[in-house]
Amino acid sequence: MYTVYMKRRYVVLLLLLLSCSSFLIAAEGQYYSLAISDSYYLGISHFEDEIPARSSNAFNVTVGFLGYRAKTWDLATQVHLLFVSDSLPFGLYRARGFNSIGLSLQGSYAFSPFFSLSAQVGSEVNFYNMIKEAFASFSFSIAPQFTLLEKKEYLIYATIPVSVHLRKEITALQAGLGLRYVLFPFPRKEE
Amino acid sequence: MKRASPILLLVLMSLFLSCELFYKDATTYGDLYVVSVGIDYANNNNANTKTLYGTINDARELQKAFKLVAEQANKSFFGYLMIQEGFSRTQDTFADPTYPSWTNIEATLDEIKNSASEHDLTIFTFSGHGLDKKGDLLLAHESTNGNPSTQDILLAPEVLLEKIAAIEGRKLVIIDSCYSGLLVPESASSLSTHYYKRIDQWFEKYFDDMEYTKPSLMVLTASAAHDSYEFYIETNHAHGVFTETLLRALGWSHPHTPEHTSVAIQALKENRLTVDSLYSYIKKNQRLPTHWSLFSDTKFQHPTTTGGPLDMVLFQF
Repeated sequence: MYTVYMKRRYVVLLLLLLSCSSFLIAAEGQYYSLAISDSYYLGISHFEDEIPARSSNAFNVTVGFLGYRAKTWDLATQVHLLFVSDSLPFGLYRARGFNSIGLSLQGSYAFSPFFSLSAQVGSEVNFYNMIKEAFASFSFSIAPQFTLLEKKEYLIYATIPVSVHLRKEITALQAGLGLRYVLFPFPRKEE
Repeated sequence: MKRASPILLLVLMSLFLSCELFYKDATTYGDLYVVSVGIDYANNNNANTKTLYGTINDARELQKAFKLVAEQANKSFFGYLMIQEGFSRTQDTFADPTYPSWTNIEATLDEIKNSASEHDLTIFTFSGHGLDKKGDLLLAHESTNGNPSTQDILLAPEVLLEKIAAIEGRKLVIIDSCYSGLLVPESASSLSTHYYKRIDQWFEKYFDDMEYTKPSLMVLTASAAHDSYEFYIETNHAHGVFTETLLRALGWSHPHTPEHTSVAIQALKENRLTVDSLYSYIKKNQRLPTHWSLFSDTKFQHPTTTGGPLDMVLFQF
């Protein structure tokens, strides 16, 4: 019964993504994107631990495969990868590192040619580095973006992503620095 | 917004200050208790119970290796070697408190329970037969004649784990037997990909009612839900594939005549020996592949361990 409910949820999510995409085809500026960032990963445990939170390093790679850009806003569907290291050693335990792969929806709004704000929601499956165990999670993030370089064919942003990773037993905050490269396969019109 | 900013900043600061960068690590590592059970089943007339040739060596050498590791970590060592070796099935043999019947194992664990403190580490190792379906362990029998019934000497994983869980401090259960992965309890927050391969099962896990708690008992096993093997490392000297690699991880290499008086631990990670560092070393270095492959012998053996977000430190050097 629960599985049927979950499947229904995926179908609704897929329909939502497709309807967003078809709507956006009408918008100008299809794009692909690649973003990388390195973050401090603070895992706040929901269970009783030796310390309230454990620190790891997180490296994030995001590939936007279906993006559309209008004058001030853009929207994209993405695949994101996350590589989280073991936590720093402390006490009798240590948080295990893991790798993730997930799908996300990203949108951003440009307040000026130089500054825009991006938001992302997604879900992922995660695999511990050492042991053969998997878990699911949800995530969202906000990232101020600063335009470093703008050409007809591409754009490069510097980003400061702040993310929340919702795991079953841990809520993790991430803050870091990154770069985002946006490629327009069909050169844009001059504005 | 301006008023909220300092509060937000304070909340963020306090969150970031609650990590290990700002806490003093005052961890105390206590004594080490090691119970090693090795059974060769040579005194068992049951045709279905094959004699094993590496289990006694496994138990004896794990005792010695852990003793040397404890010495290196400057910890007191309390060893309990419980073996059944050879054909003897006399009442005197069964009455020996080191004979690995459940009665004697229980008594040994009770003795440790009465003396271990919250800082201590208890390691229980088992080398012997394990059965499919539930991962039951086959103990030594206590019948002086006839064919002992297998059902009477089966030890259910939950009974063993419950008994060991009652001991104070950290506990590690190491099982080298067939189907030993079935002994690893399901984690409250993640699923083993040996048994659960579907993405919807992982999402169901996210929403189920199980609540994760910091584990004081972890399990490390030779195999998942499949066979485990032993082999001759030297003429007349056999070991379980898993235990031989575990011994190497602890620095107990072969040959060991004259006996090692110290060990160069191979599985250290940042001066710590952890469950995952042992697991990782075994996975990389064991003499059988961890997966079935078209291009190798059909034998394979994949170690498993307790899931969840935390790895447990056993020793710090």
